[in-house]
Amino acid sequence: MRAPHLLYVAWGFPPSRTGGVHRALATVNAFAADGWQVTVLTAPREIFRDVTGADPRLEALVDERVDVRRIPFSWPAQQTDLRAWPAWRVLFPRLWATVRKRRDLRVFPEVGYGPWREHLERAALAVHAEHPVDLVVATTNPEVAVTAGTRLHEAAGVPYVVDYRDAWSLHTYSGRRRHAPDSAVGRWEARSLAGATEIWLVNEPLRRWHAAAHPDQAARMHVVMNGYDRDLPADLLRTPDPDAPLRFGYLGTMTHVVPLAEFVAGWRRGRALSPAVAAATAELRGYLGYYATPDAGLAAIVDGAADTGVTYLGPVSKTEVAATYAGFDVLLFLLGGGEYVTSGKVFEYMSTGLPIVSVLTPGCAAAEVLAGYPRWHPAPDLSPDAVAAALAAAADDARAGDGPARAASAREHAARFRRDRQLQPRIAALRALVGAASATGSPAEEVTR
Amino acid sequence: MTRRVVLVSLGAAAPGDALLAGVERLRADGDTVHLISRTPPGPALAAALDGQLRIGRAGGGPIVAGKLTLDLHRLPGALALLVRPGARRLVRDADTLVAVDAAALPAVWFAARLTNRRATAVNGLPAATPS
Repeated sequence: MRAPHLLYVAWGFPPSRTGGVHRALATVNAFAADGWQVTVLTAPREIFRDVTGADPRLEALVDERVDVRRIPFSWPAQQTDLRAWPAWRVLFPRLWATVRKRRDLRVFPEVGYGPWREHLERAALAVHAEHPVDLVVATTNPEVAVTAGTRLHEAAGVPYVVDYRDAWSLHTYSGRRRHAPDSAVGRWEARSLAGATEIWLVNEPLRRWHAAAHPDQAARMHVVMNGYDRDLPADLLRTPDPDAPLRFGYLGTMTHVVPLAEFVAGWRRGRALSPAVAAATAELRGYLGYYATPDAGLAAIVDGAADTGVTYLGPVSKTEVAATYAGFDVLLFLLGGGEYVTSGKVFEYMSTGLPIVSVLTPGCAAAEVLAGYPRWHPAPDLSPDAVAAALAAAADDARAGDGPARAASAREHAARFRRDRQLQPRIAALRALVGAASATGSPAEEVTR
Repeated sequence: MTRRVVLVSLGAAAPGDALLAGVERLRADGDTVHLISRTPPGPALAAALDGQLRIGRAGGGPIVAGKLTLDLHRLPGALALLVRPGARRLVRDADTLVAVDAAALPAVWFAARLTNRRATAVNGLPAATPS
């Protein structure tokens, strides 16, 4: 019997360092480990290298059995070669942007990505003609990825999964609907969900919202949490040197919804409150903003805190993540957003077993994930006093004499959030759906190693 | 091959540590990196550069009136980059010109057409950084 053929569609795929890339990487590796033949449709490397930022070493983590096909993608709004810019774009940038936006929306209602639909659909049909596809998994956003699934479904009856790593019609940070059901987006979303075999959401609040918005599809909606990819090697974890200053660390993308300014204000207050915090450093690692070019506003916040031991040290390769965590004594978890936002970072943070200070906007769903983690030190609100108290408590935790035992207990708590444990039930169900016997006995153990 | 990279910043904010990692990568690759800016860079960035030159005057962001935004530094900054002898020399000798903020886009665009037609001209430091 031939191996089932999965067509996986993700705009952001290694070497991209964009949000969701780790979910995409883990998903294709999990299917490959389960014996599926996997073909990936994604964007060209140059897009990631020049615009979003790339982590070239991520490509080495893709299972070598996976066939990655890079589909032409034009992104004029992010064109970095200034010689390719027309004069009117330089002189009248707003007018240029307005015209560009209208062009983007002609074939699919998504600014920047809409024109990719034609390339994707053509590529999906070509892959199917070459080697019949048994299942499509389209991971969003960008949402245009779903068009490969809908097209193959309509043309050849191929089942497809919509993997919402975010949400389309819902603004996850504000909790408000972004697009009305009768808008172009609303109609496209209803169409794509109606035909989907499964719909994956990253947390239970998002599943509930989508189930209420699309009740006919509710039974096919499943929570596939982001989880974390691998355990931090035990030999990288260390007990803080009692004579050395503590190292607080943040690792992740910093955007305008991250309460960075609130953290800095709390950090200043914490230095007055706790001698351990006063002597400590706070290292911020990751991208400043969504793009490779650092966001000027965020950079100014970081630069303004340089006198307090806060330093920005740039992004970290996925392959250096474990070593980076191992250099921290306390983790800083800064996140904006409400009841629908959990992030992927929270799982990785918990996997370290380190004390975690959370600075979250009120109502953020990530607090539900952190609840029960024994070394969680939440700032109950975003005031400087609240953040300072959490920092001081975490410093005490880091200095506790029974650190290794605390870390072991925390890591045990986090083990339930391993990504392979999230994916395994869905892969088994989909294998049953396409009617193929499992090629391996224990796929879960191979998923991320 | 060693390149001469010239960064141009004409925004109101001082070029800061956010550029540091990119500059250090260029330097590690053997490139020389100069900065032409309206406001002086932060100390860490300044230390990492091969040289810096200030043009225009510091301070003052765009004027915003409703939907209209007028950045008084975009086109005057471009003019300064074209005519100031020190800036012109740096631009003329550069292999890569980089607009590191939005206000510098017209300046680099014009410089790449009028002063130095052979240089690579890019928007954002990552596009000039070896991967």
